[in-house]
Amino acid sequence: MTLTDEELVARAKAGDLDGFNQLVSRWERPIYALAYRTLGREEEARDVVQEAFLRAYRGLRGFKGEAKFSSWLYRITLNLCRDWSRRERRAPIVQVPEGTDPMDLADEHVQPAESVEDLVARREMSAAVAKAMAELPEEQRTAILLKEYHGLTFQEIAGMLDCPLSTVKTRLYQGLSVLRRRLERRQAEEASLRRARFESL
Amino acid sequence: MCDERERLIDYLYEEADAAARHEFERHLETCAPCREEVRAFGAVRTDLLAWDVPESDSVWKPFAPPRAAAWWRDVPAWALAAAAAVVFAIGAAGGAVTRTIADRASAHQVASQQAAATTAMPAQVVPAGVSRADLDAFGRQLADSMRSEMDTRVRLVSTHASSRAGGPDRDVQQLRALLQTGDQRDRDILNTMRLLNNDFISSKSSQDRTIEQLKQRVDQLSNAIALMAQQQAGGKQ
Repeated sequence: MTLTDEELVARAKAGDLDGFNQLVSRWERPIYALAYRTLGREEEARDVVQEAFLRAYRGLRGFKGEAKFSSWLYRITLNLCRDWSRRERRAPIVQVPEGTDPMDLADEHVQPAESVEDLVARREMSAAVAKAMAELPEEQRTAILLKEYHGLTFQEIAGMLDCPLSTVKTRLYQGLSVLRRRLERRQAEEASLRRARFESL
Repeated sequence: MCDERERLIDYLYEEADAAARHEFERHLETCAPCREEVRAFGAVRTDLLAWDVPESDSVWKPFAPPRAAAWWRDVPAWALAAAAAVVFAIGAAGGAVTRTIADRASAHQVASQQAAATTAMPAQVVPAGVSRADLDAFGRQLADSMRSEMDTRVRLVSTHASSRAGGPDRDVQQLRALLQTGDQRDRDILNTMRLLNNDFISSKSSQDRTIEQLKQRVDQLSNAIALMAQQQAGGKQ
């Protein structure tokens, strides 16, 4: 029987360490993804994950369950990411090697339905999205991260970011608009390059 | 530019209720910019799916449940110390009993040899006031007395030793049983320790007294033999 987050939280509060271990096991990957996409650095993201769960454990008694446990955890994580960025005065970076060698990718595991060309295209798109997201203002990036990759509702995001519902929607709209322009420009540049290669042939 | 941003976002992320959704769909039929934006934002959302997160091993070291405390951690320190003292005392008592038996057997042998030597002495010279018969009688009396007393003591010690045979096992079993009981066990253990300790001290004192008495008797016998030797030497002269 799978216990809910609320049940595991209750167990952990009662001193059941395994209850908290199960919560970590359930939420570690999403928390790592949020930290990684916010900071753009793997090592720092791992540090944030560890600190986030330690803080959650220490603050468990103060967690009244007014929000979902995951929302509370996301909030802790975002605060840690913000603290780290301010302390280091560093913007998110994109940890993608310059140029992707198709031969290297060919050695990696490729899904049966995915050709090497498709894999290259997917990697390049991943890097392009990461770059475009890193250039967004923090408020817009956070709203898009929580909505697109973690499926939070507008209400949950508003509660987490302490802002009105309409502000969340505005940030999403503005963020998507910026991303649209940058990604469309990239596609236009790629199309231009392909055309140039074709014409040179 | 159409000012339907919030409704467009509600529609895009499917958070509008059915009525609002239907109403916005009617709006889209007549608003080309909104239609274009919904299409473009949908394409962006598809592109966003391409953003991979690298695999990462777990950074969390699971909390381990508290280690079960060893049973003896529940036993008070004084009880452990007392139990150790009892074990030591039982060992020491066994050693003392063995040594006493050995000492007495040795003393018995010496006394027998001395008594034999006494009876074998030639009755040639008898000093004035002390006859040879008197000395022989004293020697026999002394030897009989010592033999009798030693037999009694050895019997007592043997009885004590045999009563202690299996004693350590019994004591350990008793201790184990006591350790498994509740709060009363601490007081019971303490009382048992005291009894065992008193028993040992009493036994040890008794043995020491016996040894001291035997030593005194041996000294007396030695003196008597020496006196007899002097008298014999005087008689020769």
